[in-house]
Amino acid sequence: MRALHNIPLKRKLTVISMLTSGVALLITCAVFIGYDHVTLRREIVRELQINADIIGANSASSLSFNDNDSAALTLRSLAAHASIVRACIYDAQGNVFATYRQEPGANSHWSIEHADRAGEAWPDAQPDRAQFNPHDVELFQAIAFSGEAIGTIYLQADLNNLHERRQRYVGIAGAVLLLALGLTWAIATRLQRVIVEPIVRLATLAGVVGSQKNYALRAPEGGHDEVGRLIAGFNDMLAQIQARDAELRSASENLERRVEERTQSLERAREEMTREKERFQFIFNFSPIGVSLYSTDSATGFSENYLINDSHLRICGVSRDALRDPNIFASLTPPEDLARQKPLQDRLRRGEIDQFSIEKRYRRPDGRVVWVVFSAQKKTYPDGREETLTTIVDVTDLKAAQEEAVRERERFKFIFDSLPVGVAWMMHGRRDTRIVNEAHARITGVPPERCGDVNNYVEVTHPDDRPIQAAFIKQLSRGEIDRYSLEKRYWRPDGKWTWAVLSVRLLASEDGDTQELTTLVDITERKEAEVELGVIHGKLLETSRQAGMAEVATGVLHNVGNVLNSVNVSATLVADQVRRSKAPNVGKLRELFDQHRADLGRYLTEDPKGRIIPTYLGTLADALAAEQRTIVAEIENLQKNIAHIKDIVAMQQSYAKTSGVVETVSVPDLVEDALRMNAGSLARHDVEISRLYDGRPVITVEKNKVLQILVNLIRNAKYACDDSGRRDKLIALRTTVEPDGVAITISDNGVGIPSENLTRIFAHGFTTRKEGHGFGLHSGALAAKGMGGSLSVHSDGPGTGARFTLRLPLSPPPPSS
Amino acid sequence: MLGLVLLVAASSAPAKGISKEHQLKAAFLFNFTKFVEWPADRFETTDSPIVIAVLGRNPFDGELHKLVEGRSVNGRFIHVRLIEGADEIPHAHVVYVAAGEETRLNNSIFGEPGVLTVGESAVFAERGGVIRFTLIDGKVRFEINQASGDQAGLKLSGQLLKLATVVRKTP
Repeated sequence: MRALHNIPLKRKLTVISMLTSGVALLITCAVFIGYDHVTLRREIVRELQINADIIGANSASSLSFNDNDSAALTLRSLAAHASIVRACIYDAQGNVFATYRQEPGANSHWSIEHADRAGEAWPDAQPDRAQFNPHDVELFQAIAFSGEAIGTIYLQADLNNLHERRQRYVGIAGAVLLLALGLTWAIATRLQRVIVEPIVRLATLAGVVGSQKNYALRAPEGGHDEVGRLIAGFNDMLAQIQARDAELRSASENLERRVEERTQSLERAREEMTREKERFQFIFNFSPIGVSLYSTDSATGFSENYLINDSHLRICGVSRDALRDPNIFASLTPPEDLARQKPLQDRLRRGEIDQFSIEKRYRRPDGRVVWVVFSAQKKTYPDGREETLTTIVDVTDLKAAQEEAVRERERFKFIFDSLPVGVAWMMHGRRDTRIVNEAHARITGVPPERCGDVNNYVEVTHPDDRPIQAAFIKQLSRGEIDRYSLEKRYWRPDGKWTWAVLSVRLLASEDGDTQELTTLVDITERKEAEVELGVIHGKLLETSRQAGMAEVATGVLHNVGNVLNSVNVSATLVADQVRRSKAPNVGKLRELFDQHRADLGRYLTEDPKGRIIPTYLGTLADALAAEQRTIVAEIENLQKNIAHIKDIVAMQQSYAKTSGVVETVSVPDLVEDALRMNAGSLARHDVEISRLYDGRPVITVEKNKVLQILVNLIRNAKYACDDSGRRDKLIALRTTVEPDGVAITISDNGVGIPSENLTRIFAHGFTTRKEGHGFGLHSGALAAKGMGGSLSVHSDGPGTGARFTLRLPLSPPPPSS
Repeated sequence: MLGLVLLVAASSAPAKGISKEHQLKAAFLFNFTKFVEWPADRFETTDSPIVIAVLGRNPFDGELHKLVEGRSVNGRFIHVRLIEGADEIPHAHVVYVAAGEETRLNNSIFGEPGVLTVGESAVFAERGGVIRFTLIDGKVRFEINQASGDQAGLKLSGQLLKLATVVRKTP
């Protein structure tokens, strides 16, 4: 094929055509000859087999009865077959029984050079088979008779027929091939011109274009076949090359510039890398952490590429020269630290762990001991190489700080536990962080180790105190309050109760968590003192109450006195009227009538004196009637005043009697009663009263206590108005219904209360009046509280008046134990 | 198989005192059955055995028994019987009559239909025996009386006739 490459296209086409037809013919002839050869061989074998069959059948009896002559006679019939050179019959034991040889020269087939084969020895008997030799074919075939193998026949035939026929065929094939090739050549030389000539022209043009580099040349157009398209394509290509040539020239300039740029950027990258490397060296050597790195070949176990930085050496206090001693670091390590480090290191080397970290010491050559955190980690690469990185961090200062922290902690613990106040601290909501001091444990009786469970504290808390504290805790957890304080009792093993003030406070710490601080102060002694104080206080209260009652009595007497004044006036009026009565004039008239009884008529009609008597009688009757009217009116007035006194006395008696008894009363009535008790002094001091009652609510209370409070408040208001010196004195009374009770408000426009006094106004013994004893408001507030209500005050300051509010529940609270 | 048997027979012959001649004759007796066709009524079934009877003196001394044992011809096994009298002849297909025996039994052995008689002597051939063994140049050969064979209703193969030294066509 390669040989074809360089010869002209014209000859190439001729050669291809002739080769193609030659090969096709050769294959055809070869197949025909081969087929004929195989067929003929098969035919020869078949013919031999038929002959063997015939001879076998005819020699069966000869074999059976051991008659060689007869068998030889049978074989001689083969003389008719010119190709069969010799034959033989073997008996059942394979012994030669009868033979046949073609007589030399008997036919033309048996050529002289093969004649010597006729003298060859007979081959041994063999099973059925046909074998082709170069010049002959041999056949063995068994002779069977009556179901038994009784012998074998051997036939040898020459192949002259076969050879002659093959030669003849090859001769014919050669002649046909020559003829065909001649024809092919004649046709190919004529036809190739059509294809070759345009291509040759194109090739010539391409040569010119190539040598002159003139891409403006064009080939003349061809037909519409492939060659025509080739020419058109070639012209297109020339046009494109022409265009690209121009582009290329500019691109090449571009490229040079880009190569230049790329070279520069590579240079920069290399510089960057160098700097990186220097930076790494700097970090490696000047990092405060000691670093060493070495790789181990797992096969040899030798360390190589040992890398150690300056910090490592500095921390250990050794120079780089000291590294010549491979055990330098082990020798610097105290034995007890080495004993901890060694097993870990062994496990790392065996691959059981891939890293470890311990705190250890180095005893430096200069005698200083440094504490370090020593970490080692091993990395195994896929190729079996291992790299171990160790770091040491100097923690000597940290260690010192830790020890200082421990001492600090001990100090804190000492102070914490020595405090006389019980202290508990925890992160809010996390009982497991709670710590308590000894005083806390002493007061509560709960040992510190059980402080985490809140139930331990609940158990020892007095049952009455539990709900109060629970309510506080609930409020605290909801975030409604951030602290609370209460007095509570803890059960003591001796059966008594320890009183303590418990204060809980939440503190938001800087990191967002909330701390909870609890303090406990033992106030058992104070409580006991308070009980004593309570007794004294009770006595004082009684005194106060009596004093209060005295004041009430004074008020009553005062009112009675006022009424008695009216009674006195009425009585004097009646007495004067009676004294100055015209009634005695009726007696004078009777004397005149007695003197003139005889001539009474004449006297009344003629006597000048007697004549005016009837007129006088009329006048007298009128005067007497007026007199009577005046007296009757005065007496009615008197009766009313006396009834009033009776009322006053009866009311006082009713309050005095009903102390401690609960009654259901109307609130406005109560307020009116209180006003009435102060009516005299209010009228005397010209104080105006304004009322605003919201409905007529009914409450169940100890009436006399409420009345006492109200009387006291009204009187205080009157004093406040008096003290202000203003003319338009006003006391406003108001009742309001509230969801769980009523509120009675007494407001005045008097002197007001300075803010500093507002907090202590209800304190025992506080008063601003010279003659006051300071019980009034104190006992009032206590009484209000005792009834389940409250007493409160409001004032915007001096000169702005004051407002007291008494709140009472609709019904009294259940009596407390 | 035949070759093996002959070989064994040949090698063991001197020990038994049997001549090569009688070994060959025993083989011939067996081979005759292959070339002779009996009338169909001589066999009860298609595989009924062929019976070779040795009348009177037995010159084969068990050789014949050994030779035919387990072998068959055209699907029939071969049985060998030693018989003494002519009355058993009708039950045999081949009857061998050793030399001298034919005189002892007179003519009673001949003319039985469907029986191939094989003998040795000229007298035997004269009286109507079908096949007679002869010795020519020391080789065992045989003569055939075709007329006797036809009379007995036997068909003798052309191949057999071809090998016979003499074929007598008249009685």
